[in-house]
Amino acid sequence: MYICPMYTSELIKGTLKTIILNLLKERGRMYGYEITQTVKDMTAGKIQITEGALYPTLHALEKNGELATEEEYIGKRVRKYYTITEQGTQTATEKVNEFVDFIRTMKFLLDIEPRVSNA
Amino acid sequence: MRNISDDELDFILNDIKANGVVIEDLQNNLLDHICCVIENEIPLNEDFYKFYKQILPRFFKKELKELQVETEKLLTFKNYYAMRNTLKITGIVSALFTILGASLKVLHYPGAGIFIQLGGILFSLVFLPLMIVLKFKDEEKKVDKFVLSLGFLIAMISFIGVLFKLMHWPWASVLMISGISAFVFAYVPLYYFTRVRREEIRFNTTINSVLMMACGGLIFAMFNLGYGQKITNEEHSLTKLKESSEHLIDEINSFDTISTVNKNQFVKLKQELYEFKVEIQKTNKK
Repeated sequence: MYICPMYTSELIKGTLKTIILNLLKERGRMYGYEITQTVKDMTAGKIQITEGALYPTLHALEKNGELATEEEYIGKRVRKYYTITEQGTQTATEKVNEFVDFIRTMKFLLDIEPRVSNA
Repeated sequence: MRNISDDELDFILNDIKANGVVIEDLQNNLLDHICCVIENEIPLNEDFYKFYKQILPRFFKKELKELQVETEKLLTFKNYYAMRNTLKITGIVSALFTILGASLKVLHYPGAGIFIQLGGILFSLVFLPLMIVLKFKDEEKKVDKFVLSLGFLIAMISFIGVLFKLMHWPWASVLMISGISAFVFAYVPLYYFTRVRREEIRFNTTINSVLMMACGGLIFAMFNLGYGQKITNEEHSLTKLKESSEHLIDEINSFDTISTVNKNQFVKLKQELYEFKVEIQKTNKK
């Protein structure tokens, strides 16, 4: 709904938490704008997390205890850095495993033959 | 990279607030994010206010307040699931307790009171208030939120009344009669007239209204099926007679100087009074 990538929003709806948790698991401390830019760069613009989806999800993950925050003053404004907690790391692993399983099931269901990559 | 001045920072923050974002954390996040976007993406010599207006729609579909709403929704999502689970559990437990309590009461076994009380309390003080909260959250139309919540509130009052009646506690009749009257004469018409105009739910609304009116009407009618006035009056006079004869006997017993003969006569009188009372009771039963 809020993600406007090259992929349709229906396709990647529900993976936002997995993306954020896994990114923070790998990169450590990040702030909102940095997260959106990193995802955009990593996927060559194919997945662009919009701010409208990012911040509600970050707040929910923080409330659930999956993310911790640190605040830093940049001049007059406050910057909130997000880090993953132990519980968040566990959730990230579970979500990635679930997603891998989902892809396998979809491959089988849609009878997709893996293509030879151009890379 | 362009630096944001203090005035520009205040302008952005005030605009975020004016657009209905009230969570302070979210305000700070958005402020930092907008500043980052401007600092990194503003073209050389571009006007700040013009560029700000240009990038703001990135953050929403219709209005900035969506972020506030979406955040609140996600924050309460966890509680929402917990509430739904509690609703299911209390619903099943209260139904089981009430059925068990009613069966024990019919069979005159011990423990009936406790089960009925627990079932009634769970149903009227946990299940129904949770239903009100969830209906308020789930229903899209404001009028439905209020009408259905009113219905559950009336049901709460009625069920507390029934619970009080079963346990022989005071104010039971007042609670029951006011609850059922409000249900039959206020809630059912309100339910019907607020929903009947909507084509897609007209049929269900009519069926539900008829069923509710029939059930409510039947229960309401049952309030008049108590003891008749004649029986109530006779019972009252019997109680008075019993009280006066007991008082008389007490007085007789307190006389130390009274002769045995007289005392025997009084005992005989007491016996006659008792037989008279039994005779009246028999006549009433006939």
